[in-house]
Amino acid sequence: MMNNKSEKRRLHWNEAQQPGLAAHNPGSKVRQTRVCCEGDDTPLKELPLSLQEKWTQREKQTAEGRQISGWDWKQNQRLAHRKLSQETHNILSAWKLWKKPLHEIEGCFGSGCVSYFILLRFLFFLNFIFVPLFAGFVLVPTSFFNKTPEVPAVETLNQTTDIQCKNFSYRTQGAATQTEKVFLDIFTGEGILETSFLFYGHYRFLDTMGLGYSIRMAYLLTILGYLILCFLWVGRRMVASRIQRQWHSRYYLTAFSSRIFAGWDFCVRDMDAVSLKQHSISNCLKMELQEVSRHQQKQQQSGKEKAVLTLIRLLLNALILALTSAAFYCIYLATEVSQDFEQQNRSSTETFSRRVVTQYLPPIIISLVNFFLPYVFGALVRYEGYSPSVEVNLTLLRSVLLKLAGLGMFLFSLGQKVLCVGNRDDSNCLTCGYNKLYQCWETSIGQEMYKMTVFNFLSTIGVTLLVSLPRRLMVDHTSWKLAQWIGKEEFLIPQNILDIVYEQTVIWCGMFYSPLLPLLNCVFLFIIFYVKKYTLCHICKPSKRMFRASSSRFFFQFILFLGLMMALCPLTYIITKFRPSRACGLFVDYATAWQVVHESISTRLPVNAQRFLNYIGSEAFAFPLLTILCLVLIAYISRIAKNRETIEQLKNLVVMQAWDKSYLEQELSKVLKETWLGGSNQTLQTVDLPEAPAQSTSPHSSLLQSAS
Amino acid sequence: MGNKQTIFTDEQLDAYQDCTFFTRKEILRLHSRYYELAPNLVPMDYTADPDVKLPIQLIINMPELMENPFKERIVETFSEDGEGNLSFNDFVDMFSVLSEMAPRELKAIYAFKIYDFNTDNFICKSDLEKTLNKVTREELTEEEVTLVCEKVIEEADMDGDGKLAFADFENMISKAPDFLSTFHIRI
Repeated sequence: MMNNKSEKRRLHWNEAQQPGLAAHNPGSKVRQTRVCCEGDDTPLKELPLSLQEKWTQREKQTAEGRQISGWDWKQNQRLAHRKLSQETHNILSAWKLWKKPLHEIEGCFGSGCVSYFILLRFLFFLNFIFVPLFAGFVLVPTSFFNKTPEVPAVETLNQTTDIQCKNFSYRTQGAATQTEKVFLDIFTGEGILETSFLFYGHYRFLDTMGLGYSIRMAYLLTILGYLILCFLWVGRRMVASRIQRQWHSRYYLTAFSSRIFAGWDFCVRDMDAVSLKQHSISNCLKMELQEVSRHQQKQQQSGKEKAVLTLIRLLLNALILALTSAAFYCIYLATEVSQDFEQQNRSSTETFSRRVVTQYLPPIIISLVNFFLPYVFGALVRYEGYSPSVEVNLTLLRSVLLKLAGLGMFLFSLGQKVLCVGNRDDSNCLTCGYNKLYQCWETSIGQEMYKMTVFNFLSTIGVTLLVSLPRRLMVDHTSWKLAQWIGKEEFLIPQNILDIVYEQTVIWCGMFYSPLLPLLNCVFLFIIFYVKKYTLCHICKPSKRMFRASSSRFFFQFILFLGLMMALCPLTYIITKFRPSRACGLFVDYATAWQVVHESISTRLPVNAQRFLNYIGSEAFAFPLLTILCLVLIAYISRIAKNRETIEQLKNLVVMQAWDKSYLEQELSKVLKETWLGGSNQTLQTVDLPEAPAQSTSPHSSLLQSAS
Repeated sequence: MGNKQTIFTDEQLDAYQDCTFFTRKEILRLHSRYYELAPNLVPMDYTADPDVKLPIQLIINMPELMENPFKERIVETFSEDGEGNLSFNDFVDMFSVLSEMAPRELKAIYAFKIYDFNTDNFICKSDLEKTLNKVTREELTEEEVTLVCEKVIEEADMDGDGKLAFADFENMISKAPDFLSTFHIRI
């Protein structure tokens, strides 16, 4: 009898410690039901019961539902809604691109590698969405309606400016053979491509026969609207991944536990991948242990050592800045040389290869800079005395900033050359408002962006075919010591992700001047998917470093967002400040491209709408909006601080409750001992209670002690 | 849709759809996978709800589970008798919880049960050591194993009893954003 009592009490304690958890008792046929299921709104699928119990629950629910007539309609609606969402989900998932290849990659290499391909797919769709929008709003009307001859609309033109600034003719190719002509056209974006819809210069004002459809507004607003859509979409993804990451202070980080419990990828099936994963997890754990001991060492560092380290860090950062500035100067020079060469040899018969090389000089220099400098950064960062994971992240951050700033430098030097940014008094710039050597400057800029995109794509393919593949063949089939020392290439996920993000930034920068660039990028991304898949599966070995997709997701979304901002800001500046070219394109007679919008508002919209839009665009609206946003931000920040305090208090509360529990257990065992000793002379049956923790000196329990 | 299948009644399929994260097509596909494991044991007609259980040896040889170091624990957790013999309902239940649509709370409950090797509703030090050895294939030294286990208990144990209760485990999982994507088997 006493055995039963102690058994019952043990079970009772165990259950009391986990309210609400369905305890699985091996040996019992039925798992316990959760007490809180009764009035819950949780769907059946999400209950932690066995399938049999869920069925009985479901029958009970449907039986109850039928009794109350008011519930019937709601239940039916809910069921119908659920069925509809399920069907749409089925249809959409059947249409998902590349589902099977992604499944294979996930099985072989884990969720880290597959995140690269998922980002590639997202960018493919992002680019693909633009094509029907642009085709519907601009291309279809352009091919449908006739082009009007040039009619001076807004300004009365000066005769001399007319002669000097409207002197545009398409460049004649002086190359010899027909095939050379075609190749030259494709690589440099001139000739056939220049007179196609690929570049801005080909679009003309349309005679819409009284329909009132403004092709100018359509062009401008489609592109700007698409960029704003990208802004919202990427911004939303970035914020969502930021919330997942939950930046905690060092105290809250669960580095070890999350690596052990959430680090094992259940999806991986391949035996090699499993052993690789185990190897990388044990490496990570060893590194974490090292970092813990290193942190402890750092606490014990003297002031002098810290000062020396800070000095070294400052010096190295200055060195990196110097190297980066030198690289930017090279890019600037390359752009100058390339543009000057083009202008001087407009109709000459230079050799094919020389022309292509000089035209591609800026992209080549930028690629070389982006290739070599990160290695230099990686070598220098070792002396800065950071932990290995911080080293890797810092090098990555520096490479990213280098890439984006390099592109920015290229755009700036182009702007200086073509739009006379910073040197308005140059002889070429006075008459037209832009450099008069570039009669159709939007097309010129579009061509540069086009060349950049083509070069990025070709270099990706080229590196795979000419460097990675021979390397792998050499390692596999030869026994040279050099080959074995170089070894197989690793598939580095961060670098690959940064490459496609960089390419997308170039597309966004060049979209306004070359509207079909997103379509081109779709084709390129499609090809790159298969090339990279082949590289991953057959050429490279997977990286030893465990790439945790979720913690890096925010970083890469942020870089994508930065790239988008870098494309939007110059574009808005150019649209609102610079004169569109007079010789070609849609905005020939306007002082700025944005003037079209003002004109449309003042001529087409009713007066009230005009007043409303003018108010929104003015400072009287912007300042109150800014103030309100600041107030909202302050409210959120103070709430975060309050929540943090509450978390601390609750943690203390949990610990105190455990102490109380152990104190009560001790008291109970004392009381029971006394009762049994007093009640009978039999041998003591000590109650097997969970042992008390070491710290039993809580102020709370001492209060209880004094009370008893 | 009109496809005539005779394995389940329509009502059974509706019940499966309501109680798991699978659609009709996926349930039928799961049934064909279950059937392939033992064609002579598993009946094609489930309308009468037969009581057929497959032994653990057959289940852990599936390609999805074969290389998983936790395969025995997974199958034991979802079996009624705790020995690893799965009926078709347990089979569907298992893959439903491990599918990508299951919410984090549900996955955390079952993950806790899987990692609890001695089924005492706590993840104690010995459970931790076994988990660690399975995840790293014993590449860490004894000392490192002890250190790591201490660190884990220090990080996750909130009430100071030296082992992880479910509340501690769930709290720790909520701070690990990887969990949803890694605790997932695709079938």
